Amino acid sequence: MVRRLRFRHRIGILVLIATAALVAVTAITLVLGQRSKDELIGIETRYVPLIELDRDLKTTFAEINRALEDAAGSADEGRLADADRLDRELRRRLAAGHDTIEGNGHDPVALEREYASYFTAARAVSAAIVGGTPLAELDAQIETMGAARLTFATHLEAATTPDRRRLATAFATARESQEDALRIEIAVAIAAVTLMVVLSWWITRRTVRSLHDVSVGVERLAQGEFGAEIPVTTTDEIGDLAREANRTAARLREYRERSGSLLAETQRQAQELAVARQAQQERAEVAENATRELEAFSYSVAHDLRAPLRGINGFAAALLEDIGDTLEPHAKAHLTRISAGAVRMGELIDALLGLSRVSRAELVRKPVNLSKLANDVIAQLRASESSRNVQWVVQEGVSWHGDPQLLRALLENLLANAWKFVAKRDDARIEFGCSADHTFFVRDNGAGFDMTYAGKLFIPFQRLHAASEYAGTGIGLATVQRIVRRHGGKIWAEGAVDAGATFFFTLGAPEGHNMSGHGEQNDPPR
Amino acid sequence: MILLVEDSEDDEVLTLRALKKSHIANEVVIARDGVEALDYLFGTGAHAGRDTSGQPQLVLLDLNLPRISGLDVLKRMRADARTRHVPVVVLTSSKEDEDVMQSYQNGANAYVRKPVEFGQFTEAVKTVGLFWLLLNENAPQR
Repeated sequence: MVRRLRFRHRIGILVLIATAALVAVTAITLVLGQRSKDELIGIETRYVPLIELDRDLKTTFAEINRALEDAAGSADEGRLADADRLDRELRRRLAAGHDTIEGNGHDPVALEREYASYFTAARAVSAAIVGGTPLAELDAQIETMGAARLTFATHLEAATTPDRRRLATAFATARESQEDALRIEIAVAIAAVTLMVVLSWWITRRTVRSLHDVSVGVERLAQGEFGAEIPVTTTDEIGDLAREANRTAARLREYRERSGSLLAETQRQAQELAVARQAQQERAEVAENATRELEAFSYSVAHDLRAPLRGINGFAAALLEDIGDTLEPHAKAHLTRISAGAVRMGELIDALLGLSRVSRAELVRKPVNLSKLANDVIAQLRASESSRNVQWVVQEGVSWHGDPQLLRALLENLLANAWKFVAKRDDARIEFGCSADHTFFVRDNGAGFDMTYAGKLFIPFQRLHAASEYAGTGIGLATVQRIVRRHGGKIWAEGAVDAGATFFFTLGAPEGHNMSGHGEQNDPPR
Repeated sequence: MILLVEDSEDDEVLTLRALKKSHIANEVVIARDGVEALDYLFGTGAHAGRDTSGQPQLVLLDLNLPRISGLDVLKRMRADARTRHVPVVVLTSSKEDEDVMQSYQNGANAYVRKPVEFGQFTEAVKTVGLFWLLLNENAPQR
């Protein structure tokens, strides 16, 4: 029943019970106290009339005796009349105290009779003395009177003295009933307190037990066991708590299931990612190994292939010098071709090494003034062939974040290309600049190319012109394309045969760079 | 006297020819590898007993050598008081940045790449010879 009650009701009931117990104890105390008081009053009402009777009877008795003695002593008839009046009073008092005397365990009738005997005898003696009868004749009467007086006085004393044993019993009874009351009070108080304690303990135990159940459940919940329901055994606040916790658990279960599937998905993706990453790493290692091998290869190409070339060229040259004059003209020409072939092969090897260096070199981005770089390269080209007349147009203030060395190689290749292909024109013109969308360009009005073959321009060793017409390794544009790609940019070309060519390229946007590549700005950013 | 450290016989012949054409008549001692070069410089091995107070006026040093590499020869030379101030011109096929850097860091006086074309090669050897043997004032020998 208790477990159906709300806590505030339980506490109310406890308070009610406590109040009731207090009221009961108080009531019992009052009732019992009243009873023992009544008992004491009973004792009093019983004995006070006796004491009063004793006093009145003794007083009147003494007055009667005095009146009779006065009458005898002074022969006063008046005093006899007093005695008679007092006699009537005493008789009346005796009659009135009839029950009282009887209640004290004595016989009132016998006492009245003894008094009557005494007064009759004493009245007669006093009257005789007043009448003049000599005392000597009255000895016998006086003696009878004395005996009767003693008898009455003795019996009166006994009749009006409270019986000690009875009194003691009455008081003992009163005390006992008082003690009983105290015992009952203590017992009731103990019972009330015990009841309270037991009730409190029981309620507390129930509460603690159900709280314990809930707390165990909540603890399990906290440890992630969302499956176990907390038993709802009560309809009180703890029951509410358990219900709420169960509802929370249900919701958490739902979340966990959802997050579990999410987690599984994430884990699967992470695993896939890890696999992919490992594959990538393996590929990267393979690529790194390949790069290392390429570097070793490049180095030996540089060193080992050039040495025999130097021999071929050198000894051919030595032969020409030493015996050239004695040789047939065509034999001499062959020797010259041998020398030239070796030189050309050296150039090809150098170009290939340059191409591989572009791929291997670490890209360092710095602000680069491309206009200045272009002018430097142009100055070199002019110095190499000072006789040629070429019109240069370089847009000023073009700059970009890029690798200075690679960008120099890029411009060297493109401008040298243009320089080479305008060789046959009288109105030769080469232009370098940048458009609004940060596309750089190198334009010439030279030999140009057939757009059909535009796709082959950037493939190593692919040439669109005969080597006899325009010298070159066929590596230059491939190198340029690699430099552009390493910067994250693109390169493409437009042109037509004998109508010039334009090479466009972008250089990608370094992070945080505000794409300042256009000519209006004079200084590179940062 | 010139010490030519060169493993390629072709290059040796061409170098000697270039020196001759440049009218540089100094005696040329040839070392085929790093060990021979060090033996000559420090009077050990095949050159035991050589008076090491006489050191070359110029060392033409190839980098890619059998046994002990050109760079190690250079390091040993710079670590020894007898050869510390001898001019060393690295004469090699490579123009790898790494090789150039290492050479200078280890105390090379110059770095010259051998051109394929014999005319250019002769010119290079001539220029090097004239500068280091005639124009340059070497540290006094002790």
